[in-house]
Amino acid sequence: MTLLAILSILILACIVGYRAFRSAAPGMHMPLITVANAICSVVIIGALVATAEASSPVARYLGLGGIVLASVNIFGGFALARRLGRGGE
Amino acid sequence: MMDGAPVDWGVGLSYLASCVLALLALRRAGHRFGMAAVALAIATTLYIHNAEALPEILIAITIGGAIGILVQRRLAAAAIAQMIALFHGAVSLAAVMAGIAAFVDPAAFGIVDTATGDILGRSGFALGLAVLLGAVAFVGSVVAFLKPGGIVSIGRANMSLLLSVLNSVSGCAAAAMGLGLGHMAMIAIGALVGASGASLALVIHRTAAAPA
Repeated sequence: MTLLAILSILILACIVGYRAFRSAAPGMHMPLITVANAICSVVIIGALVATAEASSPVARYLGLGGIVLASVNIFGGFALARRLGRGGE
Repeated sequence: MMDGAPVDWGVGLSYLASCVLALLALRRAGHRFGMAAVALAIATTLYIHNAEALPEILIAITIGGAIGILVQRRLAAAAIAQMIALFHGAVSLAAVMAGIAAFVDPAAFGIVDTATGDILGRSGFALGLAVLLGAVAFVGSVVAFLKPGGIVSIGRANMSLLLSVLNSVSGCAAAAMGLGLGHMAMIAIGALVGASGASLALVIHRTAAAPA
């Protein structure tokens, strides 16, 4: 993947992300924060690769620990988002 | 995709779909889109990597998921901001651990410099940044969580401002990790969360500063 492609994706995603919340009503701030927090869990990809591919036990255990912690945020975070989403409607 | 790994159309499109779902989730505060985005990203990652560790991985996800659901069930509605801070602390620590794992075993991530046998310079830089940002978000989350029952004294606006900044920092950590690992979906989703968190922080700041 070329540096140019990477930069394009990075910059476009920043612009789209920056505009995503601009018109959010104050009542929507907390639900949006909750959803954004839960989506941060994509870092689990790094932990998954570490666990699946690492030959060193240290990296494996770091990966497994990362998977557990990220899963706390995935399940807890989205459950919370569902609750807030329902309350807001 | 990682160096040396075959670039597969199905895999690429699946990660792209995950990015689009993440964007939809952010636009509408739609938890269903968000869940689909993360689930698809996890499924795709598991599909293209060594399946030997799959049982351990599923057990780890189950343990973490059970903890998350239990904690979420037990909280009172008043402590939602604190609960987000707690969950956020967990995911920032996960980013730190994954980043360190990449330094410990760069070969697993396909980011070894063939000339020196060490981690690639640019990957090391981006991953170092990811670890640093993850650590900052972790400390910030702990501070937000420990604010003594004091969401009242901090004020709702300040707490959501803090959480939004933390989201932004973690999003940047995810984007930096994506840069380090050459993982497009992580770059895109991390940048989306990072930029949207920053813009929401500005919106909250302006709303709070404006005379009511």
